Amino acid sequence: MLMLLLTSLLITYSVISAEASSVDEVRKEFIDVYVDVAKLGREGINVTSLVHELGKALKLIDEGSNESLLKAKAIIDHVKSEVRKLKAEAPRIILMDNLRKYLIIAALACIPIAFYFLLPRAYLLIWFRVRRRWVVES
Amino acid sequence: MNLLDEEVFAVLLAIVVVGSVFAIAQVVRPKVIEPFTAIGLLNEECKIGEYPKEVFVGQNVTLCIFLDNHEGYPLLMKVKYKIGTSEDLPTNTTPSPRPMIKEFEAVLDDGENVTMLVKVPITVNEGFVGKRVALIFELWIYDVDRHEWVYSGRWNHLYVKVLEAPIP
Repeated sequence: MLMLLLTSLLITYSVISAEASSVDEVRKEFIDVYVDVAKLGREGINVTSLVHELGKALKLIDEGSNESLLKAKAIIDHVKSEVRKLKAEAPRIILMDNLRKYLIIAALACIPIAFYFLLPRAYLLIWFRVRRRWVVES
Repeated sequence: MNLLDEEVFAVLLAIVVVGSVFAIAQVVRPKVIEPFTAIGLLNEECKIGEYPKEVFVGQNVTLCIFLDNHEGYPLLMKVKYKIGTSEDLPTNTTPSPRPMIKEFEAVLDDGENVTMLVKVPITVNEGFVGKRVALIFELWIYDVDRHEWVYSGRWNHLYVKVLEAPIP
């Protein structure tokens, strides 16, 4: 009888500790992924969708049930794979962003120069076109 | 008005130059000029005002916590709930020395905010009955460089009078 009680206590304890460790493990994985996502965000990469996914995972972790932990783990794994892809693409994304930014700056800087050279020409062109059918009378 | 008149053209050109410089400044300026985070305490309808003034021992008080992230990158935030007296309040640099009773976490992208409806337990001993206590909500942030939770220096507190739980 005593042996049976001890065995059941041991099983209960091991189940509880397994659940507890799995919560800790999922939380640790969550934090690791969050750190990667935050660092990518700091570099200027758009991680909004990943942050929202992590938000869902955090709520599931807080629920603490086995089912919710499994769902949280699946979300974290998905975010992890997305982070891997983004990390690989990060230099290209940053380069393209910088290129786009400098092209916009160059285009904006060219506006006054273009205005200086083109406005008189455009004005004269329009002036002549409007007066194309005009007849000069003496 | 003759656009080719020297003075008119010079004025137009000056307007275009100023506009262009302003537009360039908008493009090159950093995304976040003054990074900040915020925590707010709202009532059970998630509005400012009409906060509970009296609470019972063991009661679960419903309140709303508002969190805002403008740090320029995603933040993992934690609100630590504590109960203390006016002498136990946090400062801009140090958290309250009282033990944490409950915590609430959220992860927010830059520019996002969240309003969380929370239930906070009034777990005080009999010595606090009839006295005024502070429900303290501290904002902690996970530091991605140091890999640890750090106190942000921001907190909210709500003074309430603790009453003995009514006999059911």
